[in-house]
Amino acid sequence: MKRVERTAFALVLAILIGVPAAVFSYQALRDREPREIFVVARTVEHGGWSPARIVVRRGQKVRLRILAEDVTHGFQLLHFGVNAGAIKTGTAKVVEFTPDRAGEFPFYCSVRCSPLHMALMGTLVVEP
Amino acid sequence: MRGRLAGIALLVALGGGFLLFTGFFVHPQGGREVEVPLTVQKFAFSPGRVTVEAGDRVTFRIRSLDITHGFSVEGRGIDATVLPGREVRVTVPAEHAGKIRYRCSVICGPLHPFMVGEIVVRPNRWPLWGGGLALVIGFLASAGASRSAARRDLLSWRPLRWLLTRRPFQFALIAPNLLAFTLIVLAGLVGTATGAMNFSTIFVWLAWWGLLVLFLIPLAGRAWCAMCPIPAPGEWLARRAIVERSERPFGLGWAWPKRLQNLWPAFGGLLLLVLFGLIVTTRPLVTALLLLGLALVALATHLLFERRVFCRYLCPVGGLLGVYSMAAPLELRARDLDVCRECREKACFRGGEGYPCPTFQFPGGGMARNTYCLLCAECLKACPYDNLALSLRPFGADLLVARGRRADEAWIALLLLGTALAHSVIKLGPWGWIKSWANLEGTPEFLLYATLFLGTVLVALPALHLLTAWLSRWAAGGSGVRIGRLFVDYAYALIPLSLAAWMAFTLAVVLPNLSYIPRVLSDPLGWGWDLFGTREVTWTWVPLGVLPWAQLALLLVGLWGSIRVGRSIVGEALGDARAARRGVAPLAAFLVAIAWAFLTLYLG
Repeated sequence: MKRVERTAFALVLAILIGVPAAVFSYQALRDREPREIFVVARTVEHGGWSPARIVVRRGQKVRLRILAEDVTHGFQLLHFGVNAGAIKTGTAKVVEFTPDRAGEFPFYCSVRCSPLHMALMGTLVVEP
Repeated sequence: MRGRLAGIALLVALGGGFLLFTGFFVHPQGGREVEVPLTVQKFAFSPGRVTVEAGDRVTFRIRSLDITHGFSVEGRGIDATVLPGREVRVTVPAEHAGKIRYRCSVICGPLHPFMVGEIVVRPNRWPLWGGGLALVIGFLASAGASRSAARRDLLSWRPLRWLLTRRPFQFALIAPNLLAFTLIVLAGLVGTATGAMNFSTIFVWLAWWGLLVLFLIPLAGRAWCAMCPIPAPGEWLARRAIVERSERPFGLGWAWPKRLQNLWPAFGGLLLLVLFGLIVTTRPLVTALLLLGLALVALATHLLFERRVFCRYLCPVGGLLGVYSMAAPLELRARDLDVCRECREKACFRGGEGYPCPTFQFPGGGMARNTYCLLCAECLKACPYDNLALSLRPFGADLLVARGRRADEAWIALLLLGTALAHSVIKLGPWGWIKSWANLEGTPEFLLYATLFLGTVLVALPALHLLTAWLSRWAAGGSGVRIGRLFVDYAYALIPLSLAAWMAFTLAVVLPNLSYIPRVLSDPLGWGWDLFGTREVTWTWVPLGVLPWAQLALLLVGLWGSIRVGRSIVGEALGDARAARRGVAPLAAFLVAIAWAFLTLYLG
């Protein structure tokens, strides 16, 4: 095989393998970010909160980055006085709080997002 | 006499234009305060159309019936968020006569980009004046003189010739597109299901389609085919080479079945694509599967059959490009056919230094139309006599070539015109019901929509076209020309107008939605990334005031081109000049009516 052919072949392989590899490794790298927990809000019909169960430790500061993926959502965690307000589609909001009690606390979507809006709930677990 | 009439018509049109123009500078005093209760619900405003007088101030009291929406007025910088359960008041001053379009500005679901409503500010003279101009253009175009057939060979510019004859050049065009293609398929498969936030839908149906329709097709015809990544892997595998000329093909090299040696397979694919247009263009997964499916079919046909059978007979986009490329001002042809007659090798068709023509075209045998030429420049590399020219030429030159006109091409031209009209109604119109019908929200509704759509593009429009052909023959004195032949021939006259209509439609879809492009560049999969810091850009295109002017100009230019082409076609089909002069009138009237229909839809 001639050099130009080898180069072209290498380039094609680099594209076909490199693009997915780059995408997934960048995402994996972001997930390792220890400072904040990434939460995606979707309507109940499309899977609801992801993750729907968030586990944190009592007394340690919690930082949530909440992304509204399909339509506009809200985020409310009344037990710790957290209310992010409306989060427009495609945007994210960051909330911070320090849980001072252990237990399981529900969080809700606060902006009507679908007929099943009232069912869009998740749980914050605070370990002692 | 004729010249004087044309002059008078031109004066009238200019007068109308002046009237319209002055309307833009007069600020009527003491307009009313108009209050409009407006409810929003996926994916329509109700009422979708509000009519007021120039000078009025319209205050909308907006309430959402389902989820969060937005309300923004195109080109005005007015933008409000409408949360459910809360009324929002927005005031829009309606200073000028014309149409003001408002749209949802908070992504609310798949059809969000097409959730629009309109304020018609009276006295709206756009359709009247535009229609008058269309008539004048129609009149002038059917009377005017013929034009020159000058060509200018671009290959006389040495650097271009050098570039086009380098083997790696085509690969260099394909490689970046393959990169985009890979990301599109990946984003569609694993990225967010929200179309407006996914690289696949935005890059295919906004960026690629916009560039294709607004620039590539009108300027360079099928040039996209030379850089398309979809058939590339199959072609490389079948040739067993990516760049070099290899003599050891890998595929089975069967001949394509004779029965299918036409554009009907592409017609079928295109019909499905436009019927499900609203689904395909808004769902990332569907977009990805479509592209992947096309690539797989291309791979299979490359391994089984000879040459680029997929691009020649199967690709739905190829059918569209083929028909419109005839209007493009660029052509690849033999420079001197006498040299070709002396030539023994026929390397452009059989292959030589370069591959044989992938679509079975024969430049040396007098290939006269762009329809099936992919501009891949293999013939340029193959020809031992350096006898090919890549020429600039008048727009629409191939539409006048009688040899090779076929029913399949004619039907694609009709389908494309009908689709431009149907998609303008569905995507740009304020009618929410047809959007939800077309969105597969219920089977009976979708069947109704399908009946309506197919009835329009496959029955009503072709029937009108047939009637035009019949009237034209009758007006010309009922000569013995077969009506079927006129039906096919006249369809080529529709092509410039329908391309212009697609451009006008595409402008209205692309301009207000441009800001999605930087957004998905930063966050291609909708996973919350921010690669370039542009993920929350909400910048909108401000000079949207030029949009109606651009649409009007495009449609009038298209109309002009169509009637000019129509004149030549009628003349050559009906024989003598006097019969042809009478025979062109029904066709011109049909074209003016179509142009006017688009004008009222966009501006009325």
